[in-house]
Amino acid sequence: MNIAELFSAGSPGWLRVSPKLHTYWHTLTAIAIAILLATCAVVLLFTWQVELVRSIFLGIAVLVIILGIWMWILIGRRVRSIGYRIEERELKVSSGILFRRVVSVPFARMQLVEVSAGPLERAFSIASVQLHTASASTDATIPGLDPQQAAELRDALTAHSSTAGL
Amino acid sequence: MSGVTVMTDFTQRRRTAKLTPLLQILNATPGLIVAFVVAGMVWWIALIMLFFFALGGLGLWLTWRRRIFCINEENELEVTSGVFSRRTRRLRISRLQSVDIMRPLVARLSGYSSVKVEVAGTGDSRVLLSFLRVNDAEALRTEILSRAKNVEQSELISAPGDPLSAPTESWKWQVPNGRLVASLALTSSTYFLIIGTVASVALAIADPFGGTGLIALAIAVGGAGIGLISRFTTLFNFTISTTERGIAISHGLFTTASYTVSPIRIQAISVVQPIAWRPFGWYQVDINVAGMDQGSQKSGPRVLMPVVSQELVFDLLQRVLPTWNLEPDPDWFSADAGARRRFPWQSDRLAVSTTPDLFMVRGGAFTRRLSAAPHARIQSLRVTQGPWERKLGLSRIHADSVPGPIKLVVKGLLSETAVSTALSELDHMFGSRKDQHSESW
Repeated sequence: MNIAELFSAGSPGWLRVSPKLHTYWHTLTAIAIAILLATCAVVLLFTWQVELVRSIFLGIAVLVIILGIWMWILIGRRVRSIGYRIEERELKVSSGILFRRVVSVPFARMQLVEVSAGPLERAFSIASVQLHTASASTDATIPGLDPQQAAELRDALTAHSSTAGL
Repeated sequence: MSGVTVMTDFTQRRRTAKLTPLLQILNATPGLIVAFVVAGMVWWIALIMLFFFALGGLGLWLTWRRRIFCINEENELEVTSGVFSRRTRRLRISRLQSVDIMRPLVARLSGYSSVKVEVAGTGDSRVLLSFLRVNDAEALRTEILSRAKNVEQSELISAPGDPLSAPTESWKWQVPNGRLVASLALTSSTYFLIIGTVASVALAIADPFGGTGLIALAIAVGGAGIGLISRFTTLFNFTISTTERGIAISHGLFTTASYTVSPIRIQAISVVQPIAWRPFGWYQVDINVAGMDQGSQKSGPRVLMPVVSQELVFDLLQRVLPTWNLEPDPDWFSADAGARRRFPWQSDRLAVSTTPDLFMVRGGAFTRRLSAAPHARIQSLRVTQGPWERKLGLSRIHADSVPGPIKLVVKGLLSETAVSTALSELDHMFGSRKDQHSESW
């Protein structure tokens, strides 16, 4: 196994997350951009006369728009980079485009499987599954799963953890 | 419960010491004095504060009065508290992680201490009983420890070869306070303090910014100074010993803390050497301990040894962790030559090794460190790669341990080496769990 196969993006055999995650992250990005731009607009409305403040906040607004568009474009690749696979004795989760990472959690170390769905996630009918171990730095979260897929993953993980000799 | 006798029967429901509310007030004295001096300038503010003070005192007294503890028939430490709504907490002694005696300054001067009991589990797993007379606190600790040990022996929770059940010779080591001061004087905080002081003086003489820069510097210098002093007072009289119950650590000038840590709870160790310690051959040993509160840094030991000489460091580790089979010089997989461009200072030091028992990493340019964790204690394994590393064909491996001062990371490995090392480490991690059935990881 070489390093390219270890990271999920572009390699076969990895389970993918739901395409609905695109829409969800697009919505989140849009909301964040809207809030930031609205804040800038309010500040500009009241301080249009002060040149220094005006130029600073216009700069911030432009920066928000540029970064927002960049993030918007990258969302497709970010979603495609997420993958997971249930192996014989471990769960592997891989993600990231610029900073790539793959985490391997042996079933024997799992303490808790958490399925969560916030209000906005529920509106898009997706859920995320997070694995907890005794370490706080185990960062094994799989976002954007179909509720069905999430439940199956949770059941598979709990089944494995009971056979792993805990 | 007369004034002099030591408590013996902890199965009876009882309160903590009568003076508890008073001691708690005294503990907060410095803050109160400041508050009163500030408020004393206006008489009616002082009056209002006095009222709230009395109210707080009454609250403390009621809390003490309504707080009752005992060891019940099911071998649990039962604490009932709450002034209006009662709440009972039961800590199973069979799942005991630690019993620590804490002694804040006021309590220490008056011969009282608090007992902190911690059991395995998340959430409601710890209880702090303050305050008990020193003898009572010791008696309670002995009682809980002996009960925990009895359970262990009768139910055979401890696995064979468990360091707890093995007879360990009693051994003790105290860090000379002079050496502690010297070692602290040679850490980066001190350099910062000196540079900051010089800069402050220079700024005070030249004063180009009208004093604002000086104030900022003074705050920074003060922070570094306070950090150094608090580290000294915390680690003062550092004593470590091995007992049949585990590793006993105690330290502190004003607030003394004493911990008893079962070697099973130690998840990772790190041997650290700041650059200025090299001529003296000194090392510091840090530990990650399981079951510590993730939020508070003060809840458990983080330092196994603040300063120890080169000859003694492996002796110390072999005494404290005999089952770990630490090798001073295993077969290292070093960082790739290309890592020099990404990590110019430390690329020569970066390396990883998997021995039959341990996962070991080393690194650090100025402050050198060597960290190790048994395969069974590693929770998960990560391989990561940033954009620059990707260009150079490098990757890093993180071995996740429980929260603590140690992060096991090796940087600058050639990606192929990283993958093969990670895969072999995973094999070790799978294999090492089968023979261990411990209730507390």
